[in-house]
Parts: sequence; structure tokens; C-alpha cells
Amino acid sequence: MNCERCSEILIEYIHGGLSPEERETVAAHLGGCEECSREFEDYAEIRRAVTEESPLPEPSREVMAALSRAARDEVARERRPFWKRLPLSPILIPALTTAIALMVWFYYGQGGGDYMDTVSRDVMARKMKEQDSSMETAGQAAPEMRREYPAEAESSPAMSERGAADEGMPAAPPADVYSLSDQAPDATADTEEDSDVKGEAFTETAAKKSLPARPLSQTESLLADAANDYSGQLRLALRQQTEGDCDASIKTNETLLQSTPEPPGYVRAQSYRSLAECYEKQGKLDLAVANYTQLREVSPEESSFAESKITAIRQKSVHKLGIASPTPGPVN
Amino acid sequence: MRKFQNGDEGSFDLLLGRHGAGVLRFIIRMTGAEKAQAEDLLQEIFMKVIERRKKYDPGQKFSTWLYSIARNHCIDYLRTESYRRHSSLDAPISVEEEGGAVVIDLVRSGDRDQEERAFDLEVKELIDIGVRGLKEEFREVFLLREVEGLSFEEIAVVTESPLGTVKSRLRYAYKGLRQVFTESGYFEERQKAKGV
Repeated sequence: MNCERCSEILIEYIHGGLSPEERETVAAHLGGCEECSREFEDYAEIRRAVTEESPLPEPSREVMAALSRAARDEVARERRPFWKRLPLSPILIPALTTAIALMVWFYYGQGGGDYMDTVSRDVMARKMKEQDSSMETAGQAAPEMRREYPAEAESSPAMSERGAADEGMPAAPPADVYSLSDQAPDATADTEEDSDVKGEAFTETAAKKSLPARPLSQTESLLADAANDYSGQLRLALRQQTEGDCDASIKTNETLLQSTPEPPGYVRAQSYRSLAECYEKQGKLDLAVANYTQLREVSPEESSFAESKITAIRQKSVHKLGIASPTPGPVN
Repeated sequence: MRKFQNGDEGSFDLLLGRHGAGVLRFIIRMTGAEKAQAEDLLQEIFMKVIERRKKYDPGQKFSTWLYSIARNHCIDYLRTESYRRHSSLDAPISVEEEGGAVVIDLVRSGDRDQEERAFDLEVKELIDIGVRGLKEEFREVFLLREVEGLSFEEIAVVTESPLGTVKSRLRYAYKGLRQVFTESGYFEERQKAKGV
């Protein structure tokens, strides 16, 4: 071992960090090399001087006490619920209050349009509900009108309005729609009773157009969807009937009436009436009577109309029978 | 420490009693600060221990973790002090500088007057001057090994350095101290005393 290598590992040798073989080699070198031996002795002397040095001052009692107190305070603070750990400074509370007020203002103030939309949405939903009632009235009136005023029925503003409604464009019906049928006011009352679900549907439609909207519950959404679907089918059946395709109209109405869950009362009433009129048109008077009977049961408001139709059909049948069968001779 | 982590505040007093003096000694040797300033640093270091107790890994030796915090805090302090001193060039040279690093520099430069002054210093003062004159990375290794008694492996963790680097830094620290002791005439005096 040369002196350079010995110097490199001498500190480790002093600290007992070498392998036994290396220690023996170093010891042998130190025994024969005066320079390295002196270096070793100097290091050992420094080490002894450092370790035997008089002790440095201890931390003062005040420092120890302050640290101990800090530790206890910290542990106690940790045990408190988190909301009590918040510093309730005289600055924090007003700052938080202001921040919350600003958030509210930004949400409702900046988004004032949204708030107004919510209000106007409700108003619009109410108006559309009224329009819907009017359209249903027009729907009820249409066959009647077609029957009584065939020429006007084809070009009726009420029918064209309903066509517009089919395309999702609500339009106000003309004021004279009610004059086309004496059943219209009653029908309006009927539809107003049943129109809550539709009102929700319109609200939802309006809500989709202007966000944010009041979220509908799942039940409300399902009912709204179902009401939309029934209304669509009913409108289709009425259109088919108007276009003279009674077979298709009957099929649509039957599908509608067999739907699950059961369609709302005003839809079933319209559907039974449409069926009855189609069957009557096709000359299937017994089926027509059966559907007018259903209409009478489903819609008490239209019972007088249904009754009059049934009576008329029976009279017509009797009249036909009277023509066909030989007239009985006078009883002597 | 694990008990303190779990909310036993009394165990902190035990830790403080066991390690407080050692850390204070390390601070004084590492920074050369006066006792009052060193106690401030000690408080700051143990406040970090309190605040970071949840981050302590129970698998690690507490003294290693503690001296890591102490060492880093001392380095931050030295850098701040160095910046403060350099930024105030007009300030007079402090007593600390006059009796510390400046003396070592002068001894190393071969100034015989300063060397004679150093010759008269007690061993403790020689060690103080010698340690303070060491480069920061040599000084911390020397203090952690010879004063605080940490193993080479623990020092490697504290200083975030490889084991071989730790050993070589300790060797350089000893060489620097030997030079100071030699130039002060300490070893010569010792030989004379042995001869008598």
C-alpha cells in the first residue's frame, strides 16, 4: 500500500469502517511509514479534541417551554373540528360575506336573463297550455265542422293551426273556433283539467331552449314524454281522419288506446270520438255506437253529444230497416 | 415520534429533551451563530418538526429526519446571512467574521501575525475556527459524524449524498482541520509536551 492510498482510507480506518484485511494492511503501512503515522496521530488528536470538548450550552428553559407549549397547542388544534380551526378574524368574516354576496349577484345579477327566462318560461308554459287547450278544442271541433261545414273544414284556420302545431310551431287559434262547435267550451274545460301533464311537457320544452331550467323529476319527465307521445299519435289519427284515410286512422287510434300506461282521459276521449266517426263513416254503425258509448263514459262533458249521436245512428238504422223491410200493415 | 404523531403531546417533550441540546450544538457549529440566534433557529427547526410530524416516516430514524430539517434550515440561514452581508458592503466587519472564517483565510494565506494569534487559542477555539472555516458540505459531514454521532449511512440520507461522497468529504474536513491545527503550532506544542 502506498501513502496516497493510505491517506484515502485513513479516516475510515479511524472510524473502524474497513474490512479486516484492509485494516491489517493499513496498520502494517502505518508501522513502517512515519509520514502516514503522523497523519494518523494528528487525526486521532483532532477527533479526541472534538469529542472531549467542553459541552456547549443547553437550550434555555424558556425555549424548551415555548416549544412544548407550541406542540400542545398544535395537537389540541388538530383535535378540534375543522370548522373551529378556521381563524375567525375580523377580516375573514366580512371578506367571506362579500364573496358570497358577489357570487349570488354574479349568478342572478349577471345571469338576470336566465332569471327572467325562468319567469317568462312559466308564463309561456301557461300560455301554451291555453293554446293547447284551444287546439284540442279545435281538434274536437274539426270532425264536427267537417261534418257540418265540409268546405270550410278543409281550409279551416283551426286545422292549419293544428298542422303548425304538428311541426312544433305553437300558434294561437282564432277566436271563432269555439263557434264551430257547441261542444268546444266544455271540451276546453276538460282539457284544462287534464293539461297539467302537458303543461309540464311544455315547460320542459321551453326549459331546453333557455338554460338553466328547473330540473324535472324522473316521474315528471316520463309523464311528459308519454303525454307528448300520446298527443302525437292522436294528432296523427286526426290528420288521417281529416285526409279521409279512415282505416289508417282507426289503426292509429286502436294502437293509441292499447298503449301502456293508459293515455290521459282527454286523449282517450278524442280517440274514441275519432274512431266512432270513422266507423260511422264506413257504415259500421254498431262499432260507431260502441265507441260513442266509450266516449260518453270517458268524457262526461261529451255525454250529451255522444248520446245524441247514438240516438241519431239508431234512428238511422231503424229508418234503413224500415225502408228495407216491408211495412207492416195497419192493425185492424 | 410515533406517539407524538398520534397526538401524545407529552412525547414531544421527551424528543425535545433528548435532541434539543445536540441540535442547538449543531446549529452553533454549523452557522457560527450566537446562542440567542441559535435558539431562535432551534425553535424554528422544532416548529417545523411539529408542523411536519404527519409527514414523518416511522420507518426512518428520527435523528436522521430531525438533522435533515436542521441541516436544511441552517443552510437556508447561511445563505440568507451571506446575501445580507454581501448586500451591506458598507457595514463594518463583525467580530464573528474577525474571529472566524476571516482568521482561517488569513492563516491559510500564511499571514504570520494571524498565525501567532491562532497559536495562542485554546483547543476549543481552534476547533471552532477550523470547523467554521471548512466548506459548508465538509463542515456538515464533520459535525454530523464527530459531534452528533450519526453513521456514514445516516449522513448520506441527511445530506442527500452518496456514501462515497460522505466519506471523501469527511476526509477533506479532517485535512482542513489538520492544516489549521498544524499552522497554529498545536501539534508542535503537543510533541514538546510529550517530550517533556
